[in-house]
Amino acid sequence: MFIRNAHLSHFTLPLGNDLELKSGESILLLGNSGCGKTSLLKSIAGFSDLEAGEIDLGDKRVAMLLQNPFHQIIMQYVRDELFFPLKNAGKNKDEAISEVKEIAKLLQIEHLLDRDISTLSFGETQLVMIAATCLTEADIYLMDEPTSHLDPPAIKIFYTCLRQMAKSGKSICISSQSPDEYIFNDDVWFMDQGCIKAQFPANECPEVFKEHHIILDSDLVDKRLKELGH
Amino acid sequence: MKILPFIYKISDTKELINSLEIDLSASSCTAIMGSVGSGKSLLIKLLSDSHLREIHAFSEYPFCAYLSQDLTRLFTGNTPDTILELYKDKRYTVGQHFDPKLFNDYASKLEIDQLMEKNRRLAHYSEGERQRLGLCLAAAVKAPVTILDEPTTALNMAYRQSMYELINEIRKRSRVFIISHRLLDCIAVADHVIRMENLTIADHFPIEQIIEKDHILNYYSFENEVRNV
Repeated sequence: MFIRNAHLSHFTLPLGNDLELKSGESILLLGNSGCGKTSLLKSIAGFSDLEAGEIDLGDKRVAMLLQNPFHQIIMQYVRDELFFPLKNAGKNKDEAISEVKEIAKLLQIEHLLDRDISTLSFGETQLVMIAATCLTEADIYLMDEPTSHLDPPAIKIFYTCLRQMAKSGKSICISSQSPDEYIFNDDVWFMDQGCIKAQFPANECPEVFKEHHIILDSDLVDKRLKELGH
Repeated sequence: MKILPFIYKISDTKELINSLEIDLSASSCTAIMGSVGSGKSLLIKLLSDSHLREIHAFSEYPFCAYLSQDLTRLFTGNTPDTILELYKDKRYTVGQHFDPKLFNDYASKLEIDQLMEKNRRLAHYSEGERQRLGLCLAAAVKAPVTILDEPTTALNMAYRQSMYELINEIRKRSRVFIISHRLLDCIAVADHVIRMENLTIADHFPIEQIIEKDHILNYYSFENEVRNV
């Protein structure tokens, strides 16, 4: 997928850099609140138009997880919600059952399968909708702050699942508020006021973060724990 | 304020159970920690939701200022002006406790004052912008108890730091409960921790003791993760 000469709507400046999302690659999209992360993802998915420029998807299909998981619930029960994308894709029943089983095991939500979605907590709903998005047949997966309501163990489980997908050739783009998640991704795109300010491989993150004054959660935790120890 | 032993029936097969009596009177900010689905939000609903008070989970039920976890349900379709009018309406209990001056003060601290001048519809706000607006509204309601359910989900580090300062201000006049899945939020502001596990209160302790609890610190750490396994 290519993005060329793009200008996101509602922003005064163009995106700046041309972007490419290769297959098997996972990108972490970072930036302050209101900087255009969601706008960029929605433009790629086709939910909103660009002010200018083009997004060339080629023959790639896109699946997107919205920032608020409640906005894309279709069915009443978790199991039905997970079956929905598979039924839509015309999978046969046995295949669908085994795929639901597999993703539920991977994301550790097997115990939720028979629950009514309205009785789930926010974090549980987020995990279920992540599973439903992963089951949607696509080549590019866009996820808007999928980890916002997950605790660290659930975040690790989520990224284990994504890595498997990336290994099988899917492209993944995730937006997040927490730069600590760079360790799970291949590349980082850093946005500010509708522009891509920097693109760099995840292993260069520690230096780049220092340069851009991006503070990691873990650094502040260490500092505070030391204070509490005295 | 005390949390009392109670049993709350969630469904035919599920119960939220507490067998401890926890005295929180020495604490001005209590953090509720625990994994996804462990009952963090539910515990606090037993305090703030008038329909759930017959469970007698707490020793007292003062008026609570409440920042909900899902803000879109609260806001869709309105502009900041219409919401502010609602908050200022003295016919409602919230209106009797809401301080517009405090709100303006907090709004400039969290940098939403300029945003509000444009008076866009809230449906067009980003999650982070909504979150900051919700936080300022809840913080400007002068109540004996202030409850913040996952207040930092869509906030970046700079705004989270401002929020910590804001909480430190609120706790001088109000007892604060903060629910967060981020360790930093809890240790930055709280002086007492309640840890939930599988719909029970597993543990509670003063914040200083957290440095001895390796299992909790490991739980929240990415450090041992190997890149691209």
